[in-house]
Amino acid sequence: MNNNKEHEFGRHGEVILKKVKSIPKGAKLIEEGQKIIVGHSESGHHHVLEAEHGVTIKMYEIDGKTYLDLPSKVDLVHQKSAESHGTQTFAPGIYIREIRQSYSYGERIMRRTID
Amino acid sequence: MEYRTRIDSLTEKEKSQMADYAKKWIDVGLKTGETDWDTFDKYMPIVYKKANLKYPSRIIRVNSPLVGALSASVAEGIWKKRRDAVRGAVRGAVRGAVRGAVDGAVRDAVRGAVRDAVDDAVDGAVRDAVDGAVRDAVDGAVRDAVGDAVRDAVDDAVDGAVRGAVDGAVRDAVQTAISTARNAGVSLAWHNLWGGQFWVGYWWYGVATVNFLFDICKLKLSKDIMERAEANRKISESVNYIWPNSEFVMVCARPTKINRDDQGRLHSDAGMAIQYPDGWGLYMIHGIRFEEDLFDKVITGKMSFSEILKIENTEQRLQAMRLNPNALMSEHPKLINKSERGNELWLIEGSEVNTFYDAPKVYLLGFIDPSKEAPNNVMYEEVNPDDVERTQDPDEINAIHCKLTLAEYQKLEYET
Repeated sequence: MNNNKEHEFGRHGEVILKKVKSIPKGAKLIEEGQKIIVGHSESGHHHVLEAEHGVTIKMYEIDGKTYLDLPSKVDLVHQKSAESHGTQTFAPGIYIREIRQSYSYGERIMRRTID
Repeated sequence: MEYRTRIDSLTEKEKSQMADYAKKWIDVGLKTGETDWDTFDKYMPIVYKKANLKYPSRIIRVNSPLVGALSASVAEGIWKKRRDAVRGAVRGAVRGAVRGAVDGAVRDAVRGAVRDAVDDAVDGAVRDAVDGAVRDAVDGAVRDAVGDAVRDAVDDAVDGAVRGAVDGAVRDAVQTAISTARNAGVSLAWHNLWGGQFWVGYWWYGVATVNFLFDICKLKLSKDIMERAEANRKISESVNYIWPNSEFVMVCARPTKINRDDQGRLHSDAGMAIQYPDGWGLYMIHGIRFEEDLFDKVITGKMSFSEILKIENTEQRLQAMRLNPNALMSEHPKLINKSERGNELWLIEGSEVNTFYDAPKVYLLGFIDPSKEAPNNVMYEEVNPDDVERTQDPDEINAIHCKLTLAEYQKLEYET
């Protein structure tokens, strides 16, 4: 579970957040808010970044990659009551978000992991 | 504002707006929730007028395309029996009055290369996103289901279509129509429909392309054509399927939900992927349709490999494998390597799995899922054999799956 220690690199289920220096030029702002879903789940067990009240997180996209601007520390929360991924706290900064993938022999391609 | 009556080329600014415009129409095509009945009621009469047809007094709203398809085709059958000269389904006339007329006018006003460029970028994107994913699945399901009509589901809608004209004889007529059709092996003409929101990118110069030329490129044609185009647009924005008939119009409510995967295919591992207000819908996993019972088994993640092999449909089997990766561990894999971090690389050879996948070697990565309690906290994922060619280090394989370099993965401390 969350030990309240801020960090800059973590895996939360299939979501990986890694701190980077900057958002690439030309990236498009696609979403902003105090809460942002960074890992969608069909069953509603989303991975959600939650900032403090009054703080806005921004999500950008360029060339199929997703970046996040966290102006202050935020919690990454799993919206699931049982067997949930423990909350992680990320330090302020710019992050790249990756989604875990695995191979499918049936389709012969790499696919996003189902969480 | 300066309008054009002819377009021979697109500006860079216009070209740059195609993607966003297509997205806007994809959103229209996939819209769920409240149906805009008022807009439909306002513009559908215009469509009939343009087709030189009298607008029927019987407008029936239905809550799923299954009910609409069955009811419309049965009602059409009843009306045909009652009136020899009845026109019946008027889909061709109605669609020709709007889309056909607009198509022709746009074709004349816009140079071929421009049309093709816009069609590919706008309609093509919308078609792929909406048509292929949704329309085909729903169409197919309704087509399959027609033969298994449930009379009670049809009753109310058919009643609405013929109320006042055949009063007490409706139930007998419905029963007779269905029995007669079935006994004669006749398929009900459920397919005389108009796609509404699902056809916004359909076929050549669909609603999306035509309106891109109007909205962005400022094309303006004759008043009559613009009215037809507007009616087509408004109807497409307001409702789901439509069954236009000379005696009635049956129109379907929007779905209450549409879920898709990251490739735009209908998908949900938590229930129906598309569902309508009356509860009817489809269980779909990555674009593959499942019956409810099998769906419930597949999504548990606890199917054994032998259970999966019993699934007759190949595509359903593949999806079941995907959602039950741990099933592979029952096939006596060999442990190749285990890291200090606890990651494992396994190999399956000479098993039915290899036949199933047509792959002589099937590799699996085993890793700890911190959200689960031991001993059920080891997850398994299939591994690309090309990656195993380069490395048999399970930590490096796990790094690849996390889209990290090995050095980055080794610094990853926080995993929950």
